[in-house]
Amino acid sequence: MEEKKILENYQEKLQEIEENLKSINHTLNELEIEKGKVGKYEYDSKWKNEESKAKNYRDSLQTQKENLEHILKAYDMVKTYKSSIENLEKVKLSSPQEKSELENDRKRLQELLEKNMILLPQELQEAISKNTTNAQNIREDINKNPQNELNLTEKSSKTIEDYQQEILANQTELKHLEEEIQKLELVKDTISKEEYIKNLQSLKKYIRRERGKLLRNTQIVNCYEIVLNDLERIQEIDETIARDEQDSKEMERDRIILQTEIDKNKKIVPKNIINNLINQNLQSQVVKPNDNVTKKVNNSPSNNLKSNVSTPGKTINFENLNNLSTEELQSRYSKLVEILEKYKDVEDKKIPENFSNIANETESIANLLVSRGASLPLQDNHKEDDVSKDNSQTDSNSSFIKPLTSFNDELNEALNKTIANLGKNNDNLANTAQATNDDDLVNQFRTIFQKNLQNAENHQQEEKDKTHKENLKSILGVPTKQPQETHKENLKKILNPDTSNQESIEKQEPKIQTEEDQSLRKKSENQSTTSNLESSEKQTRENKTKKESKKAKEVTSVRKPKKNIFKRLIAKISSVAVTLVLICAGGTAIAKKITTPKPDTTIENNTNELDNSSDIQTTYSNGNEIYHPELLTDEEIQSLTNPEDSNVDLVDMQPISEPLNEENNNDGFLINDSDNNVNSSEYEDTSSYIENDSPNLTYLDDDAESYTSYEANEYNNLNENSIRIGSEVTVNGNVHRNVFDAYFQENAFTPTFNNDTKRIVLGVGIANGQGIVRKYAYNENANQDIQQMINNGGEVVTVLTANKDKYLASCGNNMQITREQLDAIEEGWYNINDINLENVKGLSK
Amino acid sequence: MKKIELYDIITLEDNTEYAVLKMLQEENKKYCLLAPVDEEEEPDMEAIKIVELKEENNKTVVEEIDEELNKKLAKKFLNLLREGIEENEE
Repeated sequence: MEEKKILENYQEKLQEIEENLKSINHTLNELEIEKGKVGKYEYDSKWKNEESKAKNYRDSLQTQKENLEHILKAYDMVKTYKSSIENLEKVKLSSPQEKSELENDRKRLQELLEKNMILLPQELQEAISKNTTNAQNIREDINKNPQNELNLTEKSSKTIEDYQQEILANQTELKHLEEEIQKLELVKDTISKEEYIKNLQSLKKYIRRERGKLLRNTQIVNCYEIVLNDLERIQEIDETIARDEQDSKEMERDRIILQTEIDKNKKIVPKNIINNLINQNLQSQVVKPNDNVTKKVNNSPSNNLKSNVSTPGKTINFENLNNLSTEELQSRYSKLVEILEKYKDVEDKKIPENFSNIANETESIANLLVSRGASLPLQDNHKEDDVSKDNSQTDSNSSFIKPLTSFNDELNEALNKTIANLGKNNDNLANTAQATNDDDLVNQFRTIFQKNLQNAENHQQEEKDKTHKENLKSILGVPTKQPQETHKENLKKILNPDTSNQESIEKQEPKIQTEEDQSLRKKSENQSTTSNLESSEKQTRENKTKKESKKAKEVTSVRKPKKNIFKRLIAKISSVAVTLVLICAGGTAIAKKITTPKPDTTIENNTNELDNSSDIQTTYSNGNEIYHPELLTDEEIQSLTNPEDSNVDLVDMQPISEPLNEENNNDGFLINDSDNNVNSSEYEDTSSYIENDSPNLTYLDDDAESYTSYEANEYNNLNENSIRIGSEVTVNGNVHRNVFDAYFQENAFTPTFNNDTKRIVLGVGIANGQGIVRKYAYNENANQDIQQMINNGGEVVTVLTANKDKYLASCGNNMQITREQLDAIEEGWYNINDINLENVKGLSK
Repeated sequence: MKKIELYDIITLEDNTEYAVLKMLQEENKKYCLLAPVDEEEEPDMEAIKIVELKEENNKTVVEEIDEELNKKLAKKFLNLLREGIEENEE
């Protein structure tokens, strides 16, 4: 079967699969609707099998679709590599090094091609193989007839219109690729992550490549337009100069600027296009007396040699010269001598290479002519047409370098001498050469030539001259890149299917750029960087989205409950609340951990489990207000610590920054109402242990009641073993029962630490009948001291609060309890039975 | 999008069933407080979770939310719960 037919079959198959997929998805949707209607259990009994069958079928279709898409993609790649290999075969191989490079490239492409080929079905592989590769044909053809090798520069036969069309094509392709990405985004949930990433990356690769091409093509077209405009302006200038010679100096300067601009921009435009442009421009011009550029271009070595067998700078094929007739040789000789004359203006070090080749060729021709007994043609200016003759007469030898008044006379002289020697009376020369020895002539030429080179190198041009020479070089088309470099770049261009074209442009550009082009390059680099950044950001976003979307689960059905969920919710409201509180505090994981019931856990066990983490709970302060006990007078402290004798109302314990305000009543920090005084009737329940309060450090008994078994009515009896802020307690003690009087303790707010301190209470809370009053230790050095204590193996206990009805919470040194959580605890959301210390401890993790 | 109401039972793609305990609209997004239910439709209140309810590729999906938002919404749901109880008591 033909390759094309196979592909068409695949396309049809793919379409068919897609239609089937649509239909099966529709069926599945209907099943889901049914599921919603009848409820999960009924649905399972009736439709489960159907659903799983449908899902299996959908999966198999999906797999088939993916396989086909892979095949088509691989086929595309095979095609691309094939065409790249074909392009490679067309490359002219001028040196063994180039040949080996090209061979390597070809091998690499071949490997890639084969890799993709394996992915294709057998029939398609065979069809492709049958369709004999053009590449092989071309290679065989070249092997048979090396003359058919194509030159890379000739290969670039595109016109500027072609480039313009390519730009449009690039733009369309880019649009198309972006659409593809959007499509991919839409289906990303239906494909696997790997597939998605793979597709996305390959699309991005194509986009990069296409952008590179677009950039390159745009650059070429832009530069072409600049060159075109400049040439037109130069023409105008020349016309003006021809009309009015007075302004010529200024005009010449403009002209030089324009020429420099052309010089810069023409490097970007392919040579064939720029040559055509210059030729067209020349054809449209009438040669004028001062038309230096025209004359120079007309007389440029490259132009002159175009019609010849070899090109300056290339190795001369003497066999070819031998094949030429004497007349042809003479004509060639004349032309070469003419070129040599033109080169007398050139001092740049790059020129001599070409110059030497031309000179060598001239020399060879001279030798040949001499050996054939033919005369060397006379080289004089009379051969030039009338206009040129006028030109030479009016402007002497250096008519086209009018601005270069200080040009190297010595060089001119030397070259003139060369020409004179070469062209001196042909008969005499021929006779002399034949009669004496040919070597004399050759040696003479060589000496003069070398002298000429020497002079050229020794003389540094003035700035003006330099500019002129740059112009001249640009017009003469002196290559700035080594042929090998050009070859490499061209190879890269050809090899672009796999490597980023953008990259090759970036690498290529620095070599050919000058100031203006650098901005273009920067632009391209920025674009590339931005695109990289964008792609990286996008990738991150995509990964994130992907990650998130993984957590998303489809709601397959919705139904009304058979039971009353609301009633159940109310019945278990406390559990919900606790879980929510814990979520507030630290997320679902913690909530789950905490709400997992663990009966009969004693504080002793739990406190033993408290670790020595350096985390310290951070809720010492009440909001932003911190009580500053050090600002209290001794009397106040005394009265505070001795409630029985206290005449100081607790109202005074308000934060220094806050004036007395009834609103603060329940804020937990201060007691601002006389009713809240511990001596008030409302505190009857607790006054007993206040009375029994001991100023000494209290160690809890090992036989203290367990935390969880504590009951409200026991509060009244809790008059011993008080825990106070700043109290040091035993590690295995029970801290829950003696908190109410804590803030009456002396130095309660400035706990002291020493090396023996193992456990310390930093905060307590008390129910005052209207709310909870919390007290926290405050000490400038508390953190440091606590840290030290922890380092010494001690623990910090924060007795958060005590509500006689519901709860009592205590936690270890690493508890990170939030304000919200604390509020929730105090507002009754926590139930003592829902908490055990181990779980509380878990809060910190 | 599928119509989901308070106290509805929803089935997710992994065949787990949840009761919608509370719903909340925040910045044009819908969030649900879900409790998994067993075959007897008994909700497990200790395994409640907050999810975002949304539409994706023409499908109704519930999506887990990040930790911060989870905390923020937990508080809001807590308030909702309290309000609900208070209303009920009245």
